[in-house]
Amino acid sequence: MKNLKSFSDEELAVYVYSEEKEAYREVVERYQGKLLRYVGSLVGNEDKAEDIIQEAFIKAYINLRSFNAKRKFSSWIYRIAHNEAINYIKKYGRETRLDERQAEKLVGKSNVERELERKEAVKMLGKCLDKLPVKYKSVLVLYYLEDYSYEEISDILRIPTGTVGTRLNRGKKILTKVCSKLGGEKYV
Amino acid sequence: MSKDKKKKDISDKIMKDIKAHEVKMKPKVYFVLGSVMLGVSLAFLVLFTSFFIHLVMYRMRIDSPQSFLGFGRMGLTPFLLNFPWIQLGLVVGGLLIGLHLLKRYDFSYKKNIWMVILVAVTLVVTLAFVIDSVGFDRRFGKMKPIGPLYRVNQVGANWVMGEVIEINGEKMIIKGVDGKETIIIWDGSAHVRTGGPIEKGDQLKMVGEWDSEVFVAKGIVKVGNGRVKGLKRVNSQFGVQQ
Repeated sequence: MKNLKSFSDEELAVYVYSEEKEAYREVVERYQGKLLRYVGSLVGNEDKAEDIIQEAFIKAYINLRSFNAKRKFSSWIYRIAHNEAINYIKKYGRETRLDERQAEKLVGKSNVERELERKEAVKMLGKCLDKLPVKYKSVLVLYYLEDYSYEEISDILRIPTGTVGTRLNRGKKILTKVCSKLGGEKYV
Repeated sequence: MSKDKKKKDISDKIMKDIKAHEVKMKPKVYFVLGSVMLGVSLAFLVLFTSFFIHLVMYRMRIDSPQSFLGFGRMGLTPFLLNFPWIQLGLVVGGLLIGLHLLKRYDFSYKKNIWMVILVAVTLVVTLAFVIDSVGFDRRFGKMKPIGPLYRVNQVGANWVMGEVIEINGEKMIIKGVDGKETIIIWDGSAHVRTGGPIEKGDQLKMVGEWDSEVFVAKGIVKVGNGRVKGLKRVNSQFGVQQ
């Protein structure tokens, strides 16, 4: 087998379906951490998130030949995982709770500087995000945690880039309001 | 269990399923056929919806159920029963299904949804006008199974329509599309909106009630207003002797 590490995601996907199925392991290893973090933040349960991304990887494999190598593989596979997560939430509801690492990243982007308040801020932000509708939360998480661009988020969520911006702004406003109600307005 | 161990488990489990052939990749042709079917379905829906818009236009122009509304409450039932609800419902259904299918295309979410709707509606309405203007009804109106869709419901529980073939004072005989003759009587209390005396050859719509085989008209209106001889056109189209 070739040195797969040097392959781009798109080249790897084509290589898997045209030459070597075993190379799919590399795809899974590249994305399982990221997808687990994203899906985990949506469903709020790491064990369930693991089941969901497992299902997403299986679906991605089955439909791999429908992937257009001219487009970004990451958007494609995030889209599949996102759909699986939404289906799960529709069926069972959500137990949204960010883990500390994720919340800290969000807090960092929000410029909360005082270290003494940091732990409290992380806790509060987790609570606030817990109250946010999934459509805002997914955009916030993809933008702030996963560092995706508007264009990539648009491809993942199948919404226009303008809507990504709108949801991001509204999401932040709702987050502020929710935090204010919970008494944590100073953290966002 | 450490996070690394968990990660390993996921990839191991997935690769185990793949190797055991429990999970198989769908062939490329499956997706190509899917795209082709989607395109064909959309094209069919555009034609289907345009055809039914044309039918609604035809029925509104030729059958003009709205003319019953001039009789007030009495005209409501014939209006409701003659209005092309089913055709209109099929138009709305066709548009909704079409838009749903359009959303499956990758490009759709990058466009403003209202713009997509506007373009889709403009396309089907334009096509409907084209179908209408090329005389589709005259060419295919007699053919099965399209023909019955053009037929006008000329006789009902409290309405009747047809062409005057004989008139004598406040009694006349009209002939419907199916060739059936009906005796009509009315008196001074009837609401007559014919814009002049009723003459042989006039196309009339009436509301009232049946007295055995005779229709007692409470309201009479001339259709076409000399501009579109609606029922006459239907009669000639379906081969009724004038």
